[in-house]
Amino acid sequence: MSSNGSPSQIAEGTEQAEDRQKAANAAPQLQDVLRHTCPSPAGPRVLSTFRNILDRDSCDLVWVTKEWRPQQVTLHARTRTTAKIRQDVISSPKMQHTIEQLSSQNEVPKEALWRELNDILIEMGHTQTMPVVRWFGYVLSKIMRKIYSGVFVNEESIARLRASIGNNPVIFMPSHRSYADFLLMSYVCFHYNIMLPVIAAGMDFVSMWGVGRLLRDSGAFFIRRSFGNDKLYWAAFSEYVQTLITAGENPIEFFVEGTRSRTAKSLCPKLGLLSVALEPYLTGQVSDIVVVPINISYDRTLEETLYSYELLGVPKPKESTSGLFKALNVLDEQYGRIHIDFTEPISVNKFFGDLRSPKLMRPLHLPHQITPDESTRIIWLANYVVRQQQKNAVISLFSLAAVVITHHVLTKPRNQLLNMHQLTRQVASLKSAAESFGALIDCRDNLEVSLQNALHIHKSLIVTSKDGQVQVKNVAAAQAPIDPAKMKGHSLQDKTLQVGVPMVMLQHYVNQTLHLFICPAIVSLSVQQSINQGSGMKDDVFARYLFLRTLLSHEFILHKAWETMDFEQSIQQLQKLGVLDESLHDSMKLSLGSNSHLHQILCQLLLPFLAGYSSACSTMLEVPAGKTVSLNEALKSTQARLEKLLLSAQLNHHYSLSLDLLTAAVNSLSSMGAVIKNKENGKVLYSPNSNRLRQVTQIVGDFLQLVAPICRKSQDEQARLFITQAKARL
Amino acid sequence: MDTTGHGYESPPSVTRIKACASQETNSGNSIITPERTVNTIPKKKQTALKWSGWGYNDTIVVCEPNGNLYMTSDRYPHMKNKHVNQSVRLWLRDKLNMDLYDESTMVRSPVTPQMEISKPIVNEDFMKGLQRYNISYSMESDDRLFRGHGHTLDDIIHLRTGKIERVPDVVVWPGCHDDVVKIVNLATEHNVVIIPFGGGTNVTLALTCDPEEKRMIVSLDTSQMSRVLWVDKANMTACCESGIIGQDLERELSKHGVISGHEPDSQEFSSLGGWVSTRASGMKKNQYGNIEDLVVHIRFVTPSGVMEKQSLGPRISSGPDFNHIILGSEGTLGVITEVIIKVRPVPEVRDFASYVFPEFQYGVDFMREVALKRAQPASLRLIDNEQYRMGQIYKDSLGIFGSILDSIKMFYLHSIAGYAEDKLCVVIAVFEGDKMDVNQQKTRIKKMTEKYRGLDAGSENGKRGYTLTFSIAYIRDACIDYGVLAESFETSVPWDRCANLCRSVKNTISRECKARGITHHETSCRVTQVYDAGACVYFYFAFHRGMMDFHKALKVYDEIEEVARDEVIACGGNISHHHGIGKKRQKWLPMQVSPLGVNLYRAVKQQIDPNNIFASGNLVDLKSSL
Repeated sequence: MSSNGSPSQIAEGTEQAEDRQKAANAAPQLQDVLRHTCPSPAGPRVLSTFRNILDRDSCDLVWVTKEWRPQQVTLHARTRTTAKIRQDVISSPKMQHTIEQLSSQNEVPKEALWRELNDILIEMGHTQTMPVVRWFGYVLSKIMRKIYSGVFVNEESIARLRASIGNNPVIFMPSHRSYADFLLMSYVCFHYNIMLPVIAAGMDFVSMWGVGRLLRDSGAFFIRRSFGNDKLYWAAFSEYVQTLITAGENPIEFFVEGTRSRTAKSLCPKLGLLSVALEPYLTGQVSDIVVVPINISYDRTLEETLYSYELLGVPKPKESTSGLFKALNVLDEQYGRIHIDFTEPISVNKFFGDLRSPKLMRPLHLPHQITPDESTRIIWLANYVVRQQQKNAVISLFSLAAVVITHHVLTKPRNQLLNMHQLTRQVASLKSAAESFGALIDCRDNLEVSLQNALHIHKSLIVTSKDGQVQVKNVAAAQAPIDPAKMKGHSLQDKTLQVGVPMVMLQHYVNQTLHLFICPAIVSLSVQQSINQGSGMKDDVFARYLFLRTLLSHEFILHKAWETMDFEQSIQQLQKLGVLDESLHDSMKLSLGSNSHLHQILCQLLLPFLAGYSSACSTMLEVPAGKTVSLNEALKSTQARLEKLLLSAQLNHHYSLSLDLLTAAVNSLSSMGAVIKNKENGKVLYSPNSNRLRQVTQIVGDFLQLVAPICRKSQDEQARLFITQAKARL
Repeated sequence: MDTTGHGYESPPSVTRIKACASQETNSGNSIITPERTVNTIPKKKQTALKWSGWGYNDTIVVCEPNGNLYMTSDRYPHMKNKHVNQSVRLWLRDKLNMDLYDESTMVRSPVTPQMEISKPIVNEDFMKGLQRYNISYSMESDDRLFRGHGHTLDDIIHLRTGKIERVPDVVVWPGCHDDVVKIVNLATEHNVVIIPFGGGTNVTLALTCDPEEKRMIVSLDTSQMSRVLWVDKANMTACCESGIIGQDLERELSKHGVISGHEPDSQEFSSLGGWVSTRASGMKKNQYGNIEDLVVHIRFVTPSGVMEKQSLGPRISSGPDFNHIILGSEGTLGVITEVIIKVRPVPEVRDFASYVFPEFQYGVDFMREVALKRAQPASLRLIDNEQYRMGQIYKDSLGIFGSILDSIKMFYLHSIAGYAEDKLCVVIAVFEGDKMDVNQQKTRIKKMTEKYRGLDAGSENGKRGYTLTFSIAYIRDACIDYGVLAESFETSVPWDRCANLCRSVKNTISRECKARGITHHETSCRVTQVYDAGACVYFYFAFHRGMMDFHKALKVYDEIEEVARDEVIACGGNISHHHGIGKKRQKWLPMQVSPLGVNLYRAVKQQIDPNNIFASGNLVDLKSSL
C-alpha cells in the first residue's frame, strides 16, 4: 500500500503543526502543575465509599423539612435577593459602559437599552427559594425511589469537597447525560448540607409551562442557546455569571459539554461559559476559583430511546410540559443505580497562576481580552475537567455486556446465538481489561448475579430466554410511524431503522466504556497496520496513532498535549494484557501478543467511526470542484451512502449513521484541512480540498480495511438476530 | 584605640554650633533658632529604647492572669488600667492559639544581647580623618548593634535569637551639614561604606548589612542634627535638619505656633530624613500631604557633591524634578542633611469620630464616596472586622454603668440595626482645623455615612482607635513572646479593585497557611488613606508558630508574605504605598518600574556614587548584574 506514504507524511498531514507545538510546549510545565495540583488519590477508587442517599434514616418529609444551615461557599458571601443581583448587574461599571457604547454606536436611547437589559435579566435570572426546593425535593425523592434502585454518592469525595470550599468561589462541572442531571446535583447538595448550586440552563425549558418557573425557583438561570452578535445580551450574561462568581454565595453549576450528550460519550468541551466564569480570576477580582468536575453515571439513561432516534435523524420533539407528562411513563420502568463522584477539586490558581497578568493596567469595566496563552490554558483546563469526569465514572456491567453483544452480533454467523455462559465469560475478561485501564466497575455481588441484575434493568432492550440465549429486542417497532419530511437527515428505510434503533441504543452503552478503550484501540490498530506494512517500529506506529487520534479528536477527548503520555500508557497497558507482545527484544519495535480476542474487540470498537468517517470523506470527494455543500446536505448524502452500504452488506454497523458522528467527521476533516469551511451570508458551507481530502480518504480507507473483515454480515441477516417487540411480549 | 570620639555627656562646643549655624541667612521675618534641640531620645539610644524590640525600655504590654492588661508607663494614657475583654481573649485563643493568661509557653526576649558582635573592620585613614575633624563616633558593640537593624519581623527575630551576621563597624554622629560633607568626602577618599541612619524604624530590612562587605561600614547617625534652623511664618515653611524625629519636630515647631502635620505610625521615633528617603506617608496626609507634598527643598550630600534646588518658590519647571531622585532613594545615593518643609498653624480644634458599617464593602463604598466628593477629614481609616475585634481586647474599667451602656449599644447594633458582630467594620476619622470647619466637615461626613448604612459610634471610640496605632508595634513584640509572628505590609490600589484585593489577599494567605499546615492564623486589613484614584490598604498577618522554631517560622512567614505580595499585585495593587523597597521587596521592582526604570536607577547610581559608597544594597541588588 504505497499510497500510505511514510509515517512522517501521515503525521505531517494531520493538523496545524504549530498548534500541536504550542500544546507540546505548554505540556511539560503544566504536567508539573497538574502533578502538584491533583495528586492521585491515596488508593484506587472502591465501591464501598459510595453510599445510597435514598437509603436514609429519616423519612422524606422529615428530610426535606430539616433545618437548612448549609456550608458556605465563601465566608464573605452576602445573600442577595434576585432583585439585588439584577440591580448589581445593571449598576456594574461594565454594564454602564456597554450601554453607553451601544447607545452611541447604534443611536438608540439609553432608556430603551436599560429596559431591554432589564427584560434580559428577568428572563435570565434565577429565583432560588427554599420552600420550592424543599417541596420539589420531596417529589423527587418519591420519583427516584420509584425508578432508581439507588443514588450512590462517593462520600469520600464529599469530604474532600467540604475541605476545599470556604474561601473561594466554586464551580461544579458535572457530566451531562440526562435532564436528570439538573436536579441531581441540587438534591445531593441538599442532602449533604452544601450551599445549593445556581445552575446555568438552556432556554429550552423556559417555554415549558410551570417547569421553567420550577427550575428557576430551584436555582436555574437561563441562557439563550445562541445570541450571536447581540452585544447587550453577551454583556448581561457575562456580568450575571461574574457577579455570581465574585459574590460567591452559591456554587455555580454548568455543563462544560454544553449540552446533553446523546451518545453517552463525553462531548468536546465548550469554552464560552468557562472563559466568562474564569474572567474574574484572570482580571484579579478573586484569588482563586475551585473547579469541581463531577461524574454522574447512570445504569440506564432515561432518554435512551429518544436519543437513538435523534441520532438517526428523527427530530427531537420540542420541550413541552405535555411531552413531559407523556414521558412520565418512564416511571413504570426501572433505571437501576446512579453513581455520583465529585472529583478532586481543581485550583484555578494552580492552573493559571503563572499566566495571571502581574500588571492590571486596565480598569475593570473594559472587557478582558483573553490572551492566546490564556486561551490555550482554558482549552487544557476544559479538557482536563472532562477527563476527570471520565476517570471517575462508575461503569455498569451492562456497558461491558453491550460491547460483547455488539461484537457478537457483528461477527458471528446468525445461527450462532450468544448464551449467558459465553456472555459472562467474555464480560469477565473484558472487566479485567477495563479495570487495568483504571475503570471502576459496578459489580457488587459475584459477576454472574450482578450481570443478570444489570441485564434485567435493560430488559426492554436485551432479553435472556429460558435456555440462556441472549438477544437484542427490536424496540423500533413500537414507535409511531415517522413523517419523512420531519427527518433531520436522510429519510432512512423502515428496515434500516428496525435494526438501527436498537443497535444505536446498544452503542449508547458501548460508548460509556469508550473513554477507557479509545487510546488502546487506536494503538492496537496502528500496531497492526504498521506490522502489516512491514514496520512495527515505534515511531511508525506513533505516526499512525497520531493520524487516528487527530481524526477522532472531535469524537473523543484526545487533547493534543496528552498525545505522548496516552501513547506510552496505552502501550504499557496493552503489553500487560497480552495484546502487544511484552517480551520485547528491541524496545523500539512493537508486535502483537497472544490476546488476539481483545485485540479484535478493541479494533472492532473503531469500526462504526472509521466507516462513518470514510463515507463522509467519499461524500465530500464527490462535491465538484468550486461547489459547496451545507453541513446538512453533507450529512444527508453521507447517511444515504451509508444506508446503501448497509443494505448491500458492505457495512454492518448502524451506528455509523449517527448524525453526531457524521457531524464530528465533517468538523474533523475541516480542522485537518481536508475540507474547507466557508462562511457565506452567515451560512456555513463546506468544499473539498481535493488533494488533501484524497490523501485522508485513502488513509482512513486503509484503516477501515483492517477492521471491516472482522465483521461482515448483511442487515437482513442481522435483523434475524433480533426478536421483535411482539415476540418479546409473549 | 579609643572606641569613642566625643563622650556622650560632653555637649558640643559653642564654637562648633556657631560654625554650623553660620551658613543660615537671617532675613525677613524668619526666626532663627540655632540652639540645639533637646532630643527626646538620647544619643546612646539603647539607654532609652529596647535593644530587641519597639519603643521605650520602660514600656511593655503586660497581661496578668487576673485580667489586668496595661502598658508599663504613662506614655500612652489610653492604654492604662485596662482589663482583658474575655470574649476577645477567647477569640484570640481560638484564632491564634494565643492564651493571654498562659505564661508557661511564653518565650521572652533576652534582657541583653546574647550574640557575639564581631570585631569591627577598621580603616585607619578614615578614622584619622574623623578624629582630625573632631567628629563624634563610637565603636562600642551596643551602639553598632542598634544601627544594624530596623523593625522588620526578620530583624526582631534575628535580634532575639542572636543571629545577626554583620553590623556597622563604627557609628558617627555628624553635628551639621558640613560634618556630613566631610564624612562623605573622607569615605569616598578611603573607600568606606556609609549607611545613613535616622530613626531605625524601617520594616524593609533597609539597615541589614551585607555580610559579604569587606570594607569598613560607617553608620551615619543623623540624630544629632536635629535643629529647627528657622521657621518662616510669612511663607509657612521651616528649615529643619534631617535627624530630627517626629515628636521633637512637632514640639519644636509648636513653639512657633505651627506644626508639620506629618504623622506616620512611627512618628515618635522616625526622622525627617528617613521620611524623605523612604517616601513616607502620614496618617493625616489628607490635611497636610504626604512627605513629597510637604517638601519644598532638600540638601543632599553625595560622593559627587551636594545637590539642591536653589529655590524657595512653590513650584519650578526646570526639567525633571530631581527631588524625586532623592525621595525614595533609601540611603543608596547620599545623605539628606536639611529639609525645608511646609508648616501649618497649630489647629484650633482636634476632634475624633467613629462610625460602624455592617460590612466591609459598605465601608469601602463610603470611603470611595468621600474621596469622590473630596470631603476627607485629616485622617480617615476603615478598619475591618478582624481588627475591630482585636481592638476590643482593651476593656475600660468603667464600672457597671459603663458596661450596661456598652451592652445597650451592642444590643441596638445587633438586634435592631441588624449588624453582625462578625461582619461589621469601623471607620475612624480625625478632624483638625478651626471650630467651624471641623463642625462642617463632621456634618458632611455624617451624612455620607448614612447613605452606606453607617452608624455613629462616638468620638471616644475614634480617639481610642487613632491612638491605638502607636501601640500596635508594642503589641507585635508582645505577640512574639506568645509564639505569634506578626507583621504588616501595605499597598495602594485603584478604588474599583480595593475590596476585591482585600478579600483575595486574605483568601490567599489562608490557603497558603492551610497548605503549610498552619492551623492558627489571622489576617486583617484596613484602608488607611483615600486618594482621588484609589486607596492605601494595610494588612496585618499573624500566625502561631506551633512547633516550629523561630527561624523556621520566620522562613514560613516570609514565604507566605511573598505569595501574598504576588496576589496583591495580581489583584491590581503594587509593590508598596509607603514602606518602600529596602531589601525585602526588590524582587518586584523590575516588574513595577520596568527594566528600563531599573537601568535608569543604575545609571543615576553610577553617576552619583560610582564606587558604591552608599552600599546599603536597598532598592536594587547591584551585585546581581552590574
